[in-house]
Amino acid sequence: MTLQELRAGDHGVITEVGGSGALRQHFLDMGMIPGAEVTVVKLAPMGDPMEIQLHGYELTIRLSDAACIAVEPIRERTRSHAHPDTLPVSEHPGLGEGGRYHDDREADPLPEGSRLTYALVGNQNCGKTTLFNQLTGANQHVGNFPGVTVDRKDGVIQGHENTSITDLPGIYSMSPYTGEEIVSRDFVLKEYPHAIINIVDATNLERNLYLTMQLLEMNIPMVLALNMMDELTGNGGTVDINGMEALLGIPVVPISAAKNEGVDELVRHALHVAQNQERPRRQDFCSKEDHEGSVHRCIHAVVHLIEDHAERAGLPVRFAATKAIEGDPLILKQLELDGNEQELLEHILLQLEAERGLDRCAAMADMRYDFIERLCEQTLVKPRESRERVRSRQIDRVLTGKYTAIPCFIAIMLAVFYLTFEVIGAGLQSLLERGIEALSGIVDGTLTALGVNAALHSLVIDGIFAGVGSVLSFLPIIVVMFFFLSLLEDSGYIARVAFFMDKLLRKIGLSGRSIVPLLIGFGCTVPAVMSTRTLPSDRDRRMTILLTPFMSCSAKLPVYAFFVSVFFPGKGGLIMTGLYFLGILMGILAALLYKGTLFRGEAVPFVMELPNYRLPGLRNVVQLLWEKAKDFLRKAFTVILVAPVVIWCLRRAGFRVKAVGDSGAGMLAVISGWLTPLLAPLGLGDWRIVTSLISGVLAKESLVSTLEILFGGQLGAVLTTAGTAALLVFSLLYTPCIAAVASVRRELGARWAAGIVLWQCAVAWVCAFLVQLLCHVFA
Amino acid sequence: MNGWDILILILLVLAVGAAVLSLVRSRKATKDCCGDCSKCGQRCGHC
Repeated sequence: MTLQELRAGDHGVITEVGGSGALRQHFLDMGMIPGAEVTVVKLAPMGDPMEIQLHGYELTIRLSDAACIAVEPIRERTRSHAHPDTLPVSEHPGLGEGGRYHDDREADPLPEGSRLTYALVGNQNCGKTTLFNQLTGANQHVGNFPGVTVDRKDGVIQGHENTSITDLPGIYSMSPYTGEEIVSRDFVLKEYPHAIINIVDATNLERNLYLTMQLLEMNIPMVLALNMMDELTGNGGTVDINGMEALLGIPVVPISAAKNEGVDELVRHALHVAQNQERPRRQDFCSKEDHEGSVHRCIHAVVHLIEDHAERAGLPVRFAATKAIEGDPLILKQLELDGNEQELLEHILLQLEAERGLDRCAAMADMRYDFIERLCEQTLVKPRESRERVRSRQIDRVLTGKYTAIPCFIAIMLAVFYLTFEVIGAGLQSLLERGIEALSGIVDGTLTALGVNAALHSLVIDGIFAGVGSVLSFLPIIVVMFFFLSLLEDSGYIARVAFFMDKLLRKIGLSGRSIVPLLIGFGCTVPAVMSTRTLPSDRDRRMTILLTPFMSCSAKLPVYAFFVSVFFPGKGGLIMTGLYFLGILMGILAALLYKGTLFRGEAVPFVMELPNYRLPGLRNVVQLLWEKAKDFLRKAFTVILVAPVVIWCLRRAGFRVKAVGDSGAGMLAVISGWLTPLLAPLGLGDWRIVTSLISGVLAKESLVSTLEILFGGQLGAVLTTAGTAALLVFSLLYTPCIAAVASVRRELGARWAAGIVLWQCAVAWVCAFLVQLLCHVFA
Repeated sequence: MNGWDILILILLVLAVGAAVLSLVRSRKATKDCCGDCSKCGQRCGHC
């Protein structure tokens, strides 16, 4: 039978791992190897995907992927992954420090004063960015979702100016499964960092050490940071650090990145191994005794076979050998083996498979997990189930329960929107508005009293104060929106949303992981586009990027609020919710269209971990809000300050460099007039509206400031209700702002970026036209 | 134009100039992104 057929609570032992290519390798890297025992923890509310437990950690996979894994049901888990209750006292090997074990004869130190470069590598969600922030004093955003770091970030270790540390995206193995894994692998292989700081989650050593073993094969000086030691010891667990250090052959330092414990010691060791180029003392984890030495003989035979090729390609030979055995296409290409060598390699691998009774990839994964298991049996006292885990399970009964998950999600999202637009955000907004109005009044009075020139007076009050002021007042709403989004992400809830939304999203051709960029898109399209890098397939990534502009970003809020206050007073909540839902609906329709045309085929498999629920750190949340507020204010005083001034000037100036009394004769009116016929069928055939929409491309918020300047409160006289509805829909759907287009260009290239601009404008035009038509019919 | 007009005009030119300069710098920073937003202080869009 297959894993798919097991029910919640059932146990089984894996007998075969089907599938092919990168996905199969990913399964193996995640520990799904023949002989491993699994327990089905639960099924998602819609029956798919399922959460399973293996090697002492939980993983979610789709039923269709689970169908590739053959299992034999068992009553109880027999492999208890027994761990001792106490540990013997072992001698300190003193690796990574100038102690008695340091052998100067082997040393190959870098010249004094060399700039030491480090790669910070670890699994997803193991606290890399927290450690990076502690090491460098930086303020990178830390999340509770696998894959927050989507790009490398560099910094200098505090107090050691001659160092450079790079925070790499979280990866599970050095197999090229996702784009992030390739980024991390390429960094280590091609940029030759002087040392690696490998951070592992001490509460989940079995899975985390898999990556460590692959890193050791790269023969680069390395320090192992055992993070979350406070959580491990707090729950009755402990690690024999000396024993682990001796078995792995690298310095091991227990730390708690969140509490800044052990970080100084880690830095000392990292400086030492990098400066003295102390490479791992062990790379050979295959045992002669294990399965009669079949894997051992195979690896060593391949090492000898490819040694010269690996050296020529600049690859660590042991790493290249294991990857060649696994059939890694990128490494095989780099090795450039000739026909004879390829044939020889294949014969060695066939012999391995015959002797070991497993295919080559499974045999390698099994060898690594075997070593890890032995290591943990000797050095780890397992903690009892942590309080955080128990709490998460209890919360999950409701938030991911079969009948409660979707209602809870809808309720939470509605609460977020209600609190943002009606209670907290709106309350703070009206306060700020009053402040700005008062200030505007004072400046107005002062300018009048000083007898300032009428044109200048108008520029300051009608241009700058009206423009910047109208946008600035939306600061509270945007900050509150980001507050809730970051709260959901940091608590670990967003990962659950990906889990139970997977089945729905698959119907439109996406995977559950795409929900994250789409939700971020409600905040801002730029980070949403960036965060698609966590998606493991190019197809999903492109499709998700094309859909993010349909999620109404927070910069459009001022636009909606402005029109609602003028044309639909008292119906703000309804109209705004309707707009958000319209965006989502159009996104779904577009996804269905893309699925049948541009992106045929299936979404990538869904394999991810659900992190424990955590209380978001106050510092983290405050810092994020401060960053967002600062960003918004910066924008308000650059783009949104310049745009009103330019528009005010263009409006007042004619083509013959002279002031015009009637703004309809100004340069602006003439330029916008050229585009007016295009929007006339939507009931938006006024040059001032066209101008506002153009300035909205710079920054969505400046659409409001431009309207404020051009109409000066007389908008109600120009727009009909149908025209307003069309304008709202057009603003919702038309081209994303210039920053978002630039980020699409960075990710997909100029042609796609241009395509998105044209496509969004076309969709917006059609929808606005239909809405206007409907308004006329029902009116 | 009185003295106040000239003063306000100068202030306006300075404010707009600073904003444009900041925009240009941010555009340039996007091109020369160093990958470390927290340190370089340029709001290049990468962050």
